[in-house]
Amino acid sequence: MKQILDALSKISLFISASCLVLMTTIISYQVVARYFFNSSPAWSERLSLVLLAYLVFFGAAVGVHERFHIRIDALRDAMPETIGRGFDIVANLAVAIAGLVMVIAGWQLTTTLWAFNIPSLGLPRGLALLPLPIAGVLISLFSSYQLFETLNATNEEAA
Amino acid sequence: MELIVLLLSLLGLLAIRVPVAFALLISSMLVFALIGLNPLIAVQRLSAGIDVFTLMAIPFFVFAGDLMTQTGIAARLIRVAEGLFGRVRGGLGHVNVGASMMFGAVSGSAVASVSAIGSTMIPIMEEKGYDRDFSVNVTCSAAVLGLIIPPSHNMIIYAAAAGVSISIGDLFVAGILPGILCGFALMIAVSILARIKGYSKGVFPGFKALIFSAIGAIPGLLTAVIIVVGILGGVFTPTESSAVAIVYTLVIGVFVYRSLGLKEFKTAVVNSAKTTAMIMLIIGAAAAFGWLLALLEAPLMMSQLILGATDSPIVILALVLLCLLVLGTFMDMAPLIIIVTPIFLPVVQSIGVDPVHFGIVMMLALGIGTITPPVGTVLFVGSAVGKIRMEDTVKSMWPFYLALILCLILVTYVPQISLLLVG
Repeated sequence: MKQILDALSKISLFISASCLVLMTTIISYQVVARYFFNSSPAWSERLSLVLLAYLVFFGAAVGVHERFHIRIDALRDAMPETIGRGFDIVANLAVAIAGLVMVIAGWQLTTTLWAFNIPSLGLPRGLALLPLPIAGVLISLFSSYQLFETLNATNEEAA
Repeated sequence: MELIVLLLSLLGLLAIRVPVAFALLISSMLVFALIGLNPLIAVQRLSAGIDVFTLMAIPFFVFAGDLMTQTGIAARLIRVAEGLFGRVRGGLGHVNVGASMMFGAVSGSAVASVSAIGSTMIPIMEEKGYDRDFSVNVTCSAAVLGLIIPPSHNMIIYAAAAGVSISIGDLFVAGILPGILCGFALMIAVSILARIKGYSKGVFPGFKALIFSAIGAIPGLLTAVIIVVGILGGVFTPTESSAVAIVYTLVIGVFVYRSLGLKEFKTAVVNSAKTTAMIMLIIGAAAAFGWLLALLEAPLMMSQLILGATDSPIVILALVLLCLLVLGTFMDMAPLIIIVTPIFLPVVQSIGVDPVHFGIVMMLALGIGTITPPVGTVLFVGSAVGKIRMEDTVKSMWPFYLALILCLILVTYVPQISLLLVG
């Protein structure tokens, strides 16, 4: 299970990082096009903004798996281990539920907006929302696994 | 009532170590459900909150800064600062401040600054007999300058959150003098402490060495010039300028400094993608949270509360400053900018404060919050880099807090410091 999740996180990170490189290329091209070819591409900023959504949401899922999101450790660290474990269980559950809400809301938005086009791009607007439900699934998976790990550790100590 | 539930659930979630972005999102979902709205709106606002053209400059500025860090620019900037300030008492403290100011001009991220400058400077300072807590204090407080010295991605967040049209170019320029002022204030603090603690003087490396090191650092420092002049001159939009900064950094990293290989490039891309995802998710979640605050009429209540208490502009500004400083100790900078800008900007605008000036005040006030416990990103990273406990850093930090807060008061009540250079 852990290997599968690690692989999913790696793929997400790859998608996220690729989007950053693509965005940089597109906007640099936009500057070059304006000053050297005298034409501003209409699609470049729109497309970059779509890529930004992929960059952010896939990266955010990686952040749950690698635990790099900013959080406040002070109180958790001051607690005895048993209470701290309780904190972790509730916290992991809350993030997993937030992931589920992202899936439901994201899927609704994606399907509703699929019928409309992004101006000057000709792509369905839903495409920019698609990373939301996918990242939601990943976030729920990663957080549930952390929940499972915490419970396991607690059980092992009890046994 | 709903407002209380919103704030309490946020604090509760933060307390049990739910990441800040998710705590903002979940507490919003909860209150959306409580007031009979669909909690899915929270996700919609989250997505809309990052679907903003202006914000696209953030990943680019982060990426440019990470690339710049990978070129090893920090060491070059430190060499220049050594030539400039090394020979006075407590010289390495001044070197640290000077190098951090220059690093702020090439990167604009306080966290990048504290880790890049700190990892080089703190060991050198310790070797030369400086106390470790002093070294970490200087590094952390000097890193804050990177938030107001252009470029600064936090100013872009502010411009996006303001609602009224604010030129990012103007904000960048407005940060220059306050940044220099704070730098001087920190150097004065360093001088006084160095005299008390009896730190040694360094040696002047000679003009030749100074000029050599300056020539080495100029290509890097030009990044800031390209960005600021490019935006002000109407050559680039802020987003474009940040993308151009990336290309420029790549060129000098590969061809001039020859320190940027495929490995360094990959590290920079991966780090930037992670940082961007982290910052932007918080921004989106804060946008959802802020939208709900507006729906619950919190901005209105706040302005009635402040404007009802007094009609003296001096007191109103003092109250706003106090709120910013207190909030800054508890919360990270980016979500605070998104949440409090729509609350405080109308209040201060009603007493005639310029939005550009207020932006600088907010950057500095919340910047001080990044080096104060319990939540201070720069403080955390600085203490980690200096291998010292956060509590020990904070204990001896007060002269630097004092210096920065005095500057904050000056910058708040003397708008000319910010607006003098704005055309």
